[in-house]
Amino acid sequence: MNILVEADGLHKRYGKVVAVQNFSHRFAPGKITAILGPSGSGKSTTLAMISGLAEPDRGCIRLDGTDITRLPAERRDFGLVFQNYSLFPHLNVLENVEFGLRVRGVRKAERRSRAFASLERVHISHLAGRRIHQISGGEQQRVALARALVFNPRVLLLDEPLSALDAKLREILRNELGRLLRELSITAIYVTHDQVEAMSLAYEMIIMHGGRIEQSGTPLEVYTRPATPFVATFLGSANLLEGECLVVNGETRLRLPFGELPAPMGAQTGPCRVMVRPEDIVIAADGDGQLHGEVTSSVFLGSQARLTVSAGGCSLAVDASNEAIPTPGAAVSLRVREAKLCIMPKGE
Amino acid sequence: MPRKTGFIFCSTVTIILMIMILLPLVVVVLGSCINASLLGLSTDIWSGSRHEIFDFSAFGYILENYGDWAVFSLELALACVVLCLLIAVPAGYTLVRHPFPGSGLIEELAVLPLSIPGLTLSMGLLAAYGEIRGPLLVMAGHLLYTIPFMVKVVTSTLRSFDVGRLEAAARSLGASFWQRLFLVVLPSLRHAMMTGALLVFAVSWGEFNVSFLLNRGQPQTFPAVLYDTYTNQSIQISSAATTIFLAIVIPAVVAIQWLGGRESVDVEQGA
Repeated sequence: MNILVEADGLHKRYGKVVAVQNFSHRFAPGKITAILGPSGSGKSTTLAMISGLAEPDRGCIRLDGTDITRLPAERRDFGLVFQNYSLFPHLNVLENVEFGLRVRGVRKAERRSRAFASLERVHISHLAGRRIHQISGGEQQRVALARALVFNPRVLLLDEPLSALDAKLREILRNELGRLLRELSITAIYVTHDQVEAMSLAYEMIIMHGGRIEQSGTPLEVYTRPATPFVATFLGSANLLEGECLVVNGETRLRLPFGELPAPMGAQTGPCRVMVRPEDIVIAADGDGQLHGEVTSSVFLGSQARLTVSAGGCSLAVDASNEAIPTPGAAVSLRVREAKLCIMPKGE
Repeated sequence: MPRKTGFIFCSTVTIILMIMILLPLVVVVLGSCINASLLGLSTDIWSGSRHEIFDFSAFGYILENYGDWAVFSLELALACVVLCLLIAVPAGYTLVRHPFPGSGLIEELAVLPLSIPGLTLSMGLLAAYGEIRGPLLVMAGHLLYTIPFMVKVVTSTLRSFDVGRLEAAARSLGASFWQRLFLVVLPSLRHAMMTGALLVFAVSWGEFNVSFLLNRGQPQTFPAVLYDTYTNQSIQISSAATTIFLAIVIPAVVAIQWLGGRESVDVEQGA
């Protein structure tokens, strides 16, 4: 089911509030694309427009090249999984899953067996006869997924499907969901505010902020090469530093508050912003780092510790292994992994 | 207060209250079927058999003389139920799902008749539609009193499980408007509609003022039988009329209570 979904210049306004502006993207066919952003970033509105439940003010949506912008939701053949599951309380589990087949006029015997197969795919066929209020949140979400997949939708849309579940269950379901969607190789669009969910599931990520796309790319690209300070800080932790690229003796150098480093490849001269992740600053055990500073705080996080180091007039977040955690007040020598520095144009 | 003492105190109060509430009903029901002459009631202007303890002939008298009143009242209540469902369910759905400027005000106005005395309402109806005074105007009066109940039950149920959410899910699964209406909205409302229907039935069956003022001639509605028998007949006959009245309305009230319990389960699972 390698269906190509394209959004072209989608725009949606609610009263005076612009919810989404100029959203354009070609969603990778047969893959999971995550739309990630904080609440109010326009990600759910974007999904609602793609599903047909909201009509864009401008722009269009194409499915394998056909314009479906004005096609009502009920005729799009898209599966949709909601955050709150939205199961029908007056129907039991099996009847809920059968619903999509029932409205398509599928005969009873066939829809029973297909609904049952769909429940088996999410490992809850034993719950077929239960009422909705008799099953747990995690089970309800599986029912919602089975219901959305039973009629072989062309595209599967998921709106924060796991956010109502507790952390442990969320992880289990996330892994299962990822496996299932890859097996089906269905074009899926997954809206979430949880970066771990997005990074672990998605082939491609779209980061939204204030109704606009900030950046899109593979999780690795977006994490290691954030296009804007917002993306850098929204995905994981980041040190953002003011810097300047200069040419010194024919070599491009990057001047930072605490010293000079060789500039990464392709850096343009002039003032810039530099992002470096805490895990890319290491403590030089031999004291032979590029900068020296003093630990101001140290937080133990289990697998590692997060230090705050005051060095060269700035405060840096640094990850330390949990084998030797410096205590506040300790002098440390730090080495920055130059290859991991990410330079962004100033003024973003 | 120790737990046991508290329990005894509460039980005693409950039992006393129950007796206070139920005793008049028991007296009425017994009064309708115990031979009045054995009780030495000299006010009895009608006498059945004189020797048996139980004497059900008062019921026969009521059914014979007021049977058409009971039938008229039942027909009126059932017609009210049907019309209320036809008017209030679409109205409630529209108010919740497609609110428009002023729809909030309309929702408030819909419950206004409940706070207006029957006398005032009747006089208003007579002034406006006096020429159709009779069963038709009684029907209109009953609808004014009962539609608010149905609208309230429907709107609060639709809001409690966020029907828009379920409709969106149904749309995404391919359901057309009519499929959503008949497969999602109305089935989700079935408890509300049953509760509303029973409420409407109970209110219409028990309504006296409006019916009495707006009707012309006979038959009157059944509460008028109570008025008529208590003012003109023996205590046994009026007790029999009251017993028949209660036998119709109490099952409806019990069913409303029972459905109310079921409703909360539905709302929980929809949440």
